[in-house]
Amino acid sequence: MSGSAIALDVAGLTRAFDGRTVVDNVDMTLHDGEILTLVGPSGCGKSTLMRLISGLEPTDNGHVRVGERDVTKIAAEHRHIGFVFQESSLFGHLRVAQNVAFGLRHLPRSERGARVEEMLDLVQLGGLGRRYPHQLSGGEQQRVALARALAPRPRIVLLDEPFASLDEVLREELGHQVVSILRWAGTASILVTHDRHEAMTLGDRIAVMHDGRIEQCDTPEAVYRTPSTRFVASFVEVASFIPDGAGSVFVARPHHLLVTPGGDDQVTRIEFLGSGYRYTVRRTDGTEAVVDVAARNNLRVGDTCTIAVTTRDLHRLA
Amino acid sequence: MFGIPNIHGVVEKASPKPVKSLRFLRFFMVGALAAVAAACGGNSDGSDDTRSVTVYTGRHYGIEPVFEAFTAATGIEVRFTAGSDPELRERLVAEGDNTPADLVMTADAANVELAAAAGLLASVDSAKLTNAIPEELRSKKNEWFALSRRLRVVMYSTERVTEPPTTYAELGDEKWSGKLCLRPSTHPYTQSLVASMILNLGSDTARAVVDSWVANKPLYINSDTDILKAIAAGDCDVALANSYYLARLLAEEPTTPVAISWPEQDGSGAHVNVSTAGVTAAASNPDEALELLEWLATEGQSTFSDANFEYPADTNVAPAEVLLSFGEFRADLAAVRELGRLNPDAVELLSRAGYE
Amino acid sequence: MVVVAGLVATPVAVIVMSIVDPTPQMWSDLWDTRLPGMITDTVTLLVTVVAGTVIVGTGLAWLVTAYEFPARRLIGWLLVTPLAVPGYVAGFVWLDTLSGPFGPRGARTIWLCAATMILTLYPYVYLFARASFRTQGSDARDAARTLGLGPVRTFFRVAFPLARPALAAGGALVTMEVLTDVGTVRLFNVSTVADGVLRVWFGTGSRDSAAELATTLVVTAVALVAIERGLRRGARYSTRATTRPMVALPLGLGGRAGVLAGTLGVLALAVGIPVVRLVAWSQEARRNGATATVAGGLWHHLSSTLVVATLATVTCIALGTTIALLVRRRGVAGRLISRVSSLGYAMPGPVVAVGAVITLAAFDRAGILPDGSVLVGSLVGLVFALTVRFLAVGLHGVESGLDQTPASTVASARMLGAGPVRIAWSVEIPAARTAILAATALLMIDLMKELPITLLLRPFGFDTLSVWVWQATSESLWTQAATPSLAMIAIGMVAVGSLLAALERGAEMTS
Repeated sequence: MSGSAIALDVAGLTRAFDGRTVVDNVDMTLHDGEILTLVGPSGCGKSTLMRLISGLEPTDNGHVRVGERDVTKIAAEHRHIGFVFQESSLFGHLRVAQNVAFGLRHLPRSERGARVEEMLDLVQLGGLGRRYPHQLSGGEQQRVALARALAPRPRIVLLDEPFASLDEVLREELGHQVVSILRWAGTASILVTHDRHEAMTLGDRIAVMHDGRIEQCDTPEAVYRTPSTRFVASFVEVASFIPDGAGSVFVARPHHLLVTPGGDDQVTRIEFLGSGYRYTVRRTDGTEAVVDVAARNNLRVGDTCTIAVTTRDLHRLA
Repeated sequence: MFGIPNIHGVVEKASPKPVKSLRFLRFFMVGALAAVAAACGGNSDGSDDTRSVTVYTGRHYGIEPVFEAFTAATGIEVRFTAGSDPELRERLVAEGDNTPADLVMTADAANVELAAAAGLLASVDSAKLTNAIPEELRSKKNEWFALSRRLRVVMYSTERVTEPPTTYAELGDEKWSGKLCLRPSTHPYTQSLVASMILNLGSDTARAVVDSWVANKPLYINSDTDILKAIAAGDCDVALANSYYLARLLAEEPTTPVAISWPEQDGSGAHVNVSTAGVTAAASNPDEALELLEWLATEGQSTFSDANFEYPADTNVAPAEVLLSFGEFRADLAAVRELGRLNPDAVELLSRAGYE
Repeated sequence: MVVVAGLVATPVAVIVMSIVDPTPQMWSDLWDTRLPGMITDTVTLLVTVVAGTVIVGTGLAWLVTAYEFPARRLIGWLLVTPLAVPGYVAGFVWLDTLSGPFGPRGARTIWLCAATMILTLYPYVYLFARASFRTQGSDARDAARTLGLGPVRTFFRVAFPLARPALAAGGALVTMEVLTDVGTVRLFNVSTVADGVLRVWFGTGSRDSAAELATTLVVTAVALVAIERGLRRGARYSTRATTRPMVALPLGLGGRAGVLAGTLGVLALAVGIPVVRLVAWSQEARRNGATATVAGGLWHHLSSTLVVATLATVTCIALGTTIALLVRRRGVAGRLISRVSSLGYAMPGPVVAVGAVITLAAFDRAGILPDGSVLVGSLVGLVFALTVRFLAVGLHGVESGLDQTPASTVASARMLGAGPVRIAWSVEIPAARTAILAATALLMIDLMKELPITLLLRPFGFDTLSVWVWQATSESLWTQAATPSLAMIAIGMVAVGSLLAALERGAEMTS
């Protein structure tokens, strides 16, 4: 992806409400064709960030550039940014084809039909152009919304938790479908989600957001293996923090640890995972460690135990 | 939102149905706009060729054949708007010089006096009018002229009452307690009657009379016709009503057991009110208006009065045959010109007496 | 836009201006005599009618949504039809009918006046309650059943509280109607403050004094409605739309008979008996040859009514839509404009009529129209006055529809490049279609019944059905009032039918 042109460049975006800073000096860069997932807990500011980039809300500070264009002062309707919302935002009184054609005013009439067909085929809803939104399922509606957003061939498209209102199974399926659609279309996109699994599996890069700041923006592997903060480390997967004796901590995943009977630590919880067991242990310094073991040992909740590290290859937090 | 509730609670969800309904709305609007374009702006005067006169009238019953007869006799077209006297007066005041009205007609004296006092009427100089209409029945400055007389008299049940009251005060006698029907104080007829009582008896006595009426727990009915029907039905024995209502009723049901007892025949005479007319100060067709007025006061007297069983203002003109059965009577003509001036006092008196 | 709102508010302002030059004498006179009585009567009437419409409207709505019985859907529709009967028509029919058994004295009481008003006004509450029950009743009702509550207790403990916001909305509408009514109350010899305004005005000839009283009335109305709105706001977040729409429960034979008796009984009282009497009267009138006024026959009056009502409806909707869209974009200033535009609804008809006359005449004096045309007495002038009075209905109907459009739908249109005009025309208005249609129907009903403004401002050649009724009833010629009354009810029924069709379409599409 690096090497392709920059589709979106955002710097210093800040937004505060009622004295609370919701988006805090955010920088972000997106290359053409890249899919970035933006993830974080509720209230971390990801939706607001999307609204700032799209122009639906004004920014207090910073700039937004789409391609070579500085759109910071430009109204949302003129930024040529695609947007897919969480709730179905289709125009209920228009047919599917008319929905998709909505942003194609600039095209001559003769071309509009072809583009609509192309987009509907892209999202695998070809032939449903004459239906009305209420006649489609939730997943189909979101696909139409995507087709509609992509139809004017925007440089970037923003998707704000587009699967949140769908059920679990559908979500995963649709997630992969959407990503392949986006890749096929070649449009740079930011996909917002609060689901860490989605974030890790769907994007080229993942940006972890916390309290208005982006704590790390990197490939999923990098974020997993070399998290830059405690929050990021815990966010992507359960983490235990082992002091390194030099004022910092190592990040240990459950499979990096061992637990044996006898010692100064105490087992506080045991969960059955299917593939093994997960022990939660309280350590003498008060922190908790989480250990996964394949086979059950004789430890029970309340027993004393000892934690040991099974590998030298742990990442040290800065 | 001001608080007027909206359809929000009623409309459950926006309908995704197609735009057919919107098309209907648009069609609606186009048709409506066309109508507006066609009707934009009223006219302050009639068409150019034929002569016409525009009338604002508060007396709206039986008026149409009268105007038709006038048009047949003179060729002058009559355009009229019927409404309630006070509202028409407000409209005249607001319109000022722009008013299309050439002639104003009212159903009673107080309202026309108020119009005159507001400067809405023109003083006319017409021998025809002064000859036809007695002096007491026209304004001192000849701004308005009575066209017919209507008397508010004592009505009684012929079946149950052998000695009907002969004065207005007698209605306050205890024997009529619970058997008296009256029109509420909102109506000009009641107000005018009390105004004449103030003139003839003085405020204190008038107040005492009204008090005595109220003490008899009258049944207030806002319709003279229904008052007469109430007498016939036995809901009351005596009442006050306008003479012509009885005439109308008898024309429909000749056997109605209600009769008139002419009050104050030894005193000031029965209370008389008048239908009037006057030329407006801002008339654009003053000549036609005057012609209509003169016609109404002379050739048109019978047509005008008979239509509603009223007595012609010109005492030389014979009233309708039906009215002859009511007999001869003396009317309190002298009070007519004072009714307007004393109306506010009457209203206050009625309020203070607790008259509904 | 501000100009338009100002224009619409001017007649009201004209009336309110008089408060600047108060006449204390009038107030002390009034206070000594009628005012206490008027206030008592107004309060009594208001409380009784609001309570009555709430109970009747909610009860009927509950029966029709919660329980299954024969002809349920049809009856559910029919129960809205009393909206088509003008209050003053129901008034004189009931007065005459009740004078029989109760006697003329017994019939002219505040209680029977209240009963008549309840019969014509309950549909406002009914509509709101019914919608509320449909979307929200199921879970609550089922919970009540599991707790063993019988049908009556279920209604009082569950349904009623559930519908509180809807009731507040319907109640506010009813409050407006009661406070500004002058036709019905006069028939029953009830003197409310609105009636007092007319008394002061006609009796003393002092428009200023009357205007002061009218202003007080408006302020009170506004205050009351604000209170009801406050009640409504508190309840708003306590109800959530369920995923399951209300399912009607079957009833036993006794239950079905009871419900049918109740609903049909109300219908008979509200619509059946008046229509029957009116038909009888109109036939009598035809026998007597009184089938027309001089202005023209039924067709003339009918077409006048339709033209005036249609023009005013279209104006109110168009203006209301524009202002509603503005409100959404302008925040505080927009809301202010919205409220100011709605004030005419809080004033009795005759007061608005006079305010409008004064405003229009002032324009005429300034020579706005060319070559001698004047606004007073013109169709434009009449439509203006009617809009001042009824804009609120159009405005708030459209507002509610717009409110229901999710913000994301509008936002997505923006992101697709649509500017504010295109968004309004292609997205917001179509989405609010059902509410707009409903508001149109309600406006048509209100406007074809309207009397005092039409009476005062109508152009030559425009004699509406309501004017015909007035001409007859002011001389107590009830039989002559029958035919135009029936025509008005017929038009009203058509409008009610469209209203219900619009609402049904909206409801059906709830998946």
